[in-house]
Amino acid sequence: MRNNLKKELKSVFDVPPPTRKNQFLSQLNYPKTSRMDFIISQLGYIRKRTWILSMLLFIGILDGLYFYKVSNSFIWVVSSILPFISLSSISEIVKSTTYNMKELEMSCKYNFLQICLVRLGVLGATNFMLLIGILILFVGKTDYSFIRLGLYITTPYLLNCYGSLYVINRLKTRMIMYVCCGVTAFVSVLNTLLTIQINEIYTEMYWLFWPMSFIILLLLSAREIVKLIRKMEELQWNLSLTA
Amino acid sequence: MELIIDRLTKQYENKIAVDRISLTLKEGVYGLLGPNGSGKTSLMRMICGVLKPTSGEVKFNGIDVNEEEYRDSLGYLPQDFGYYPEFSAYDFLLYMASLKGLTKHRAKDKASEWLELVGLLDVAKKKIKTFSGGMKQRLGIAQAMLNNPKILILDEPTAGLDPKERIRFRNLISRLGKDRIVLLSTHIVSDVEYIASTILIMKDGQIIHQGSLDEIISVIEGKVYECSVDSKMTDYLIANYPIINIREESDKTFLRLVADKSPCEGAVAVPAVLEDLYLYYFNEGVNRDE
Repeated sequence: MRNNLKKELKSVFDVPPPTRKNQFLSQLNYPKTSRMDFIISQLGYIRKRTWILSMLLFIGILDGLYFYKVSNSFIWVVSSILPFISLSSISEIVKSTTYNMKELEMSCKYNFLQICLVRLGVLGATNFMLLIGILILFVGKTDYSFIRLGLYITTPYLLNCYGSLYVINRLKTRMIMYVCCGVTAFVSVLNTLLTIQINEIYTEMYWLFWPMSFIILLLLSAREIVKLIRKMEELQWNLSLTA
Repeated sequence: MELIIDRLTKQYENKIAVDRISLTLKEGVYGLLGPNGSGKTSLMRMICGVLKPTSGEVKFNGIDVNEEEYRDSLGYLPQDFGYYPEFSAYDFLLYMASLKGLTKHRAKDKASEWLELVGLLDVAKKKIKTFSGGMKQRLGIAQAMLNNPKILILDEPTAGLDPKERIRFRNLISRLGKDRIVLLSTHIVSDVEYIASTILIMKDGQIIHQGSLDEIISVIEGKVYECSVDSKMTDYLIANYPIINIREESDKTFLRLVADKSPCEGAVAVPAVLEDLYLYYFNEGVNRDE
C-alpha cells in the first residue's frame, strides 16, 4: 500500500530540478587522508627500479658470499657498488626538479618538502637496513669486526651522498641527475683505485683514516641535508621568477 | 571568503619584482594583466606559498599562506608545469589528489569527474607525453580543481592554446568563478575582457589600476581617436601622442592614438577598449604594419 502511494505520488508530481546543488556540495567537509595515509600513498610513487636495484644488489652479495671466498677485493667491490644504491635514492629526490613538478608539488596540502622528507625517510631506512643486512652477512665470513667492516663499506657510500647533495644544493639545472651520475661514477672509480693502489688500505696502518673520513662525511652530509630542506621551502631564484 | 594581500613585496638582489601590493579579493574572477617582467608570476607564486615574500603577508579567512590549511583551500596552475614520464592523465590526477589529501575513493571519483569536464576522459589512460599543449593545459586545470579549491590561481592559463581551446577555457573559468576566488594572469587582453569581473593592471611590480572593465577603461574613455593622415602629419602625431596602432594604407597612414582633444583635422573619437588602455600603458615601441 505504502509503495503504491509512493509510486502514485511520483507519477502525479514532477521532481523539482536541484538548485544550488554545487554550492551545497562544496560546503560539505569530505574526509581527508591522515598523514600516515599520505606516507603510505607515497610508497607507491617511488619508482620500481629503485626497489629492484636494491634487491638485485642484495641478491648479488648473497650470491657472492655463498659461492666465493670473502677477501679484501670482495669488500672493495661491494663498497664500490653501494654508491649506486644511494644514486637511485638521490634520483627519487631530484625527480621533481628533473620533471618540473616541483612548483605544483609545492602548492599542495602535502607539499614538496613533506614529499621529499617521506622519500628521504623511506629510502634512507631501506638503504640502512640493506647495509646492516650486508654487514651481518659479511661479519661471519671475515676477520674484521662489525664496526670496522661497516666503516670500509659505508664511507664511499657517504662520500657519494655528500657529493650528490652538494651538487643538488648548488646546481639549478634540470640535468642535475646526470651530474649526480658523474659524481657516483667518480666515487666508485676513486674507491676502486684507492683500494687497488694502496694495498694496506684495510690494515691497521689506515685505522685512523676510516673513522675520521666517516665522521667528517657524516657531518658534511648532515649539513647538506639541512641546506636541502631549507631550499625545499621555496622556489630558488632564477630569471624566470622575475617574469 | 576573503583573500587579503598586505603590503606584499619581493626583491631579487637589486630588482623589486613585487612592490608593496595590497589587495582584498572576494568571490569572482580577477584578471591580472601586465607585460612580461611586470611581476605577475612572482605575485601569484607568493599567493600560492611557493615563493617567500621579502615582506608583507597573505591570508585567506585569517589563515596564513604558510599553513597547511591554506594550501588545502588552494588550486594552482603554474605557467609551466611538468609531469612524470610514466604517468597517464588519470595517474597524474590520482598522484595530485594524494598530495591534496583526498582519500583513494574520492580521488578516483574526482579524477574521473574532472577528466570528463575538461574533455579528456577518452584519453585518460594515455601517457601525458602524447598530449597537445591544449590537452596539457586542460589537465592542468583539472588537477587544480581536484580539491574543490576556494582559491584558484591560474598563471597564463590560455598561453599556447588555439582560439577554439581558448574560448572553451574561458567559459570553464567563468563558471568556476561563481563560488570561489579565481585569479588569472595573462597578457592576452581579450581573455581578461571576457571573463574577469575585476581587472588588475600590473606594471613594474605595482598594481597601477584596478576595477571593473568600465571603470578601467574610463581612464581613456573619449580620448581614443582614429585618423588617416599623410606622412608629415604621421611624424608629428607619433612625436606628440601615445600611439596605439599604425597601419600603412595606399597613400596615407591610419593611426589610432590617445589624446585629450582631437589631435588633427579629420580625427574621429572612437569607443575605447581594454586593449587601448593596455597599449597606452605598455606599448613602448610603435607597431607598424608594413
